[in-house]
Amino acid sequence: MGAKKYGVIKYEDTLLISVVGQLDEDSVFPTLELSGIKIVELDFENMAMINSCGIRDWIAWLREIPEKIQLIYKSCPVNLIDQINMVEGLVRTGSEIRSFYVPYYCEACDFISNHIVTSAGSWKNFRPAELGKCQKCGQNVEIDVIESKYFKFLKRF
Amino acid sequence: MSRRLVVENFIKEVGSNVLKRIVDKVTLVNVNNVFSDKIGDTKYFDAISFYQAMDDHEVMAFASHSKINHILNIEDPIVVKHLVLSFLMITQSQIFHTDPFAAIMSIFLADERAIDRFLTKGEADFPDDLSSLRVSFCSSSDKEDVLETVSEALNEIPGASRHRSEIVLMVDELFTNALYNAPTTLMGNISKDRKNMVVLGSAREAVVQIAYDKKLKRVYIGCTDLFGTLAPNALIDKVYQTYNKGVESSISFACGGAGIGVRLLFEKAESMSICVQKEEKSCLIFSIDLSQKQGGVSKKSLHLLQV
Ligand SMILES: [Zn+2]
Repeated sequence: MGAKKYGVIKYEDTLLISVVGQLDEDSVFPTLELSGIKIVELDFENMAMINSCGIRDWIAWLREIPEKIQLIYKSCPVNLIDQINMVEGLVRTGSEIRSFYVPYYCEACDFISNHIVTSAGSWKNFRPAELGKCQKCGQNVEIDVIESKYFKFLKRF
Repeated sequence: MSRRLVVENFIKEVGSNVLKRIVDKVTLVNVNNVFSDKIGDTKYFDAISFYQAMDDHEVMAFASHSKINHILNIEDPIVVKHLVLSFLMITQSQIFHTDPFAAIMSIFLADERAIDRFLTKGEADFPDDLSSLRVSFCSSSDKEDVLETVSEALNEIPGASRHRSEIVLMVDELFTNALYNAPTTLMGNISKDRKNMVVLGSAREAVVQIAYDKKLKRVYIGCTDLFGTLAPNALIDKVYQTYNKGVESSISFACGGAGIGVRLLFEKAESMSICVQKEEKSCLIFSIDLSQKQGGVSKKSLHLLQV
């Protein structure tokens, strides 16, 4: 059930890779044709989950991509951010995290919604919205992570 | 008041309120006091240790160095239940032989009176009418079904939706651990490549169990395999290395290894209990406090038992 499908699109000097499904022991990572490529954009919008086997294989796969190629991470889901906080090597030094999701919880209707935040060039002054309104019932929602833990990774970017 | 003193007072209270014949059988250790100097002392073999305000890394460091099998956070809302579990694991380990998940759950799900009766009168009459979700599996191809069954069961638990992806991931880790790590000592290293299909014989079927404490809003996630090859202290050392050296340097690229998987489980859980009957069965249980935000709390209690 692992991520066997990757959308790989080449656009000038950029390779766009969409990760689909689960990154786990069944995942098969694509062999990349990197001649003339300066940037690899990794889109996690459709990634469902990453487990410890997926982490191990991902790190091994990243090592195949030459250091001089810039890596950009987009639409990182909550479970990927959790793992990035635990495993530094999931995002190698010098990479850019362009956007990621922040979860909000509505206690009134037990509803979770994930909101994407995008970098305005730097994460230095980034402050997440702590509260908002539930898109389902209109009640107040609150950020559903311990901020000091969840946003720890931003110190690196 | 310093942390050391707060913990000291807690220990004094335990010493004076718990039945003497129970409390006299164990050593009560103040982690905030012994952390730096006396760890590793063999007198702590049958010990229950208590701490306050330490993060996951520090708790693992203490567990790894001290070899103390019971580490309790005094701010844990169910610390008294953890205390009872520790006493029973040390003094009556046989009750965890037949069905470790059910035995541990009977304590976690017991009401206050039953807990109090044990601590003050020594009566261990915990209800064993556990209703839990049980999903058995014997092949790597069962994974999708197991995860789907668990995910569906979470629909019936109020407040579980915010923790769904964490719980499913935890079950995923427990599944792969039971299938790929548990059999390796007995069957060689063939199954260690996790891309290989693994099929356990029906006599070795593993089981994932989920129990729910409605009153205290907790979900317990357990997995039992019938190999009993897990070495709890070695596992703790592996997990500690992921903190100490960093996960990346601790990953074994050639083969699996449970260090990073259990680190992931430990991070997300609010308690971890590992119960191993050598060459018979291994049971790992993690709990999630549904009233807490995603990502795990740092008030963890842990128990290790090997018989
Ligand atoms: Zn709502």
